[in-house]
Amino acid sequence: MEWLLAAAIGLLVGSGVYLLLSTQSFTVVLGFLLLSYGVNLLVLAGGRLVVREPPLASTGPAAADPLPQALVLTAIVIGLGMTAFALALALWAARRSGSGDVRAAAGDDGDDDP
Amino acid sequence: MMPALVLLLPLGLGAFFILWPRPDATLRRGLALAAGLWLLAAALWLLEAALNGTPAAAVAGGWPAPYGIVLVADALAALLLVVMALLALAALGHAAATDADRPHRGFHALFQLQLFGLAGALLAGDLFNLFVFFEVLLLASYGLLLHAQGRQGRPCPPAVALHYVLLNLMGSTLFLLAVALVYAAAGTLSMSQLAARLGSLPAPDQALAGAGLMLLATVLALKAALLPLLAWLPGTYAAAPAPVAALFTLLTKVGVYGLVRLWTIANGGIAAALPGLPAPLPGGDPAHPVAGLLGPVLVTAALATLAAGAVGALAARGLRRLVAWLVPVSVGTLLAGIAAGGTDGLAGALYYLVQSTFITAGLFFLADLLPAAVADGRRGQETPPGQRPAPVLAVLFLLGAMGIAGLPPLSGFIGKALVLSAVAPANGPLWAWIWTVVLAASLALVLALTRTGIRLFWTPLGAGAPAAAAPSLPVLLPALALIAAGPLLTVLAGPATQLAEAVARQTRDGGSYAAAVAKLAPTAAPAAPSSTRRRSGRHQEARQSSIDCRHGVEPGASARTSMRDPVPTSSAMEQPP
Repeated sequence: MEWLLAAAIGLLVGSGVYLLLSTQSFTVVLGFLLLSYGVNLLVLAGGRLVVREPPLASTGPAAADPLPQALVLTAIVIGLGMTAFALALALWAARRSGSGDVRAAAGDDGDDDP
Repeated sequence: MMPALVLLLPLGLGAFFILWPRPDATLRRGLALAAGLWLLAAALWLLEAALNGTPAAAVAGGWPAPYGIVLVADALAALLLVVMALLALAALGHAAATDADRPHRGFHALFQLQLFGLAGALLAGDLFNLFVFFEVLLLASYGLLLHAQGRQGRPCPPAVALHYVLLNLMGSTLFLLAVALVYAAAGTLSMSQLAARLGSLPAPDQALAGAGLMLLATVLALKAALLPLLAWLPGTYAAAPAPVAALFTLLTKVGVYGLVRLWTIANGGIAAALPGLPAPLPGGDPAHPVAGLLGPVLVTAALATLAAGAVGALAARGLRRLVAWLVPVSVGTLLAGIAAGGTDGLAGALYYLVQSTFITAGLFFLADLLPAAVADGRRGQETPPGQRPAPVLAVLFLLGAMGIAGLPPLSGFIGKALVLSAVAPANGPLWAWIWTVVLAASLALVLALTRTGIRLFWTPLGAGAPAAAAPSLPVLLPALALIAAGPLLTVLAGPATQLAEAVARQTRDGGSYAAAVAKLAPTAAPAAPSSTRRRSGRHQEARQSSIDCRHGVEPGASARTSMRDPVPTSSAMEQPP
């Protein structure tokens, strides 16, 4: 069970970092998405892996740690909002600068020193 | 309940502004200013309470203390809340006087949500809520950066916005990663519990928690713009409209605030007053090995940031970009004092923080009042065509420049002198480096500011060139008020340094912080159920494996569910089925 989860987290984080290094803004957003999935799984694993037990202390002798589940729920919501915003921003920037390159139009109004 | 009210007002007002269908600028401004005044009063009340030794604390969300949303307004948080409220009032005043809030309908809503995020980050009592409030303030800052246009009507360049947003997205992801690691190792995210527990973790957990804390320090260094993570700052701050840039000067300070908290946690400082725990400060053994690592790393990064900021200020073209480079200079000075100077260093740094934040923000307003071509320093347009800027602006610039560079009569000098004397030779071997870099950076700032001042205000246009009309008083007032913090903090240097020392002492010894959190716990023992979580967790795992055995599951399979802790594995194997 752990090796499966560990491999999934590693794969997601590795792919995420690889995509983050791209120069295309859309690819970077995809990388952020994968990275945040990996981190969300890690948060869940932070509460130990307990299989088939409810996250409630009062129901029986064994219980999953409820706190990471609450944390990961919050993190998923935040991650969704941030991804949506980043996608909208990437679209806006691509329209403004005419290309999806994150380095494009750095000094389009002459403000930046060459 | 006061800390919760400080959060609810900006949140409610922000929501109201979003839902308000008919934009009525006057009403919005009035409401926002009233809310700012109320925030200032509340922050002062919280500061007063904290200095009297009983920091206000509250728990939101209906869960008891270690699990609910714990808000603690100790003296450090309350002091920064006061700074935030004053800065917000000035920024709102500037925005209203220059109509910067008019082009974008969402300005006031985003501004209030930004205040909500800032206040929440300052008050949050555990790492996860710190993460959440950082997200709130970042999201609001993205909106403000992208949409609010300054008096000079320049939208933000796409590359600047992309860099700022994408970098901070990565920072947020790393923040969550660090939080997960710390929780996996220590079993708690509450700042007071973490400080109490870090020192007594078993060795493998120590390493994991240490990795988490250092990752957290990296993320906070990104927010505070320490050197390797500095490049996003000047472009972003120079592109932001003046009221937003003024508020952004506080964003980096919140990163510094987070580092101070982390530093205190790693030193076990917050927990010093909990019964049965040794008090590792001052100057004793660090509670967690990370504390020994974090100090040198912070000092090195701070000095490098300081040097980079000074070089950037020398190279900057135009006032706006020059002022943006002043931010890392201030952050570097602050952190050098905090990481190397002990309690005195923290006190000096707090004094310096207040004055440098106000003056930097005031200089951003000042740059907004100059003609756009002058403030941006565009090539070939270094002088305003035909007119000299109004003399009153030159006087303000002189005051601000002297204050921020640290020339003797003004507060910047006092702040730097306090920081430097705190890292005097007696306190450590690093002092020579810190003195050299801080003083050399001050010289570089004097040069850069003098050169810019000459180019802006003193360029020989010929005696006959008319001076531009002075801006009206409401337009001038916010910049004047903020830059006047320099002379004011000089006159009031005695009380101000006493206040800073009291705040620093309370932050470093942390007893009242821990007491305030302990008061929130349902029982007399602070958070007893959670403090035994790790041990009970092991029991649970052991129990669970025995249950699984009864169900006919291979014992090793479920014993392995405890991922990296050999203890429950062996104890589970010994359990009779």
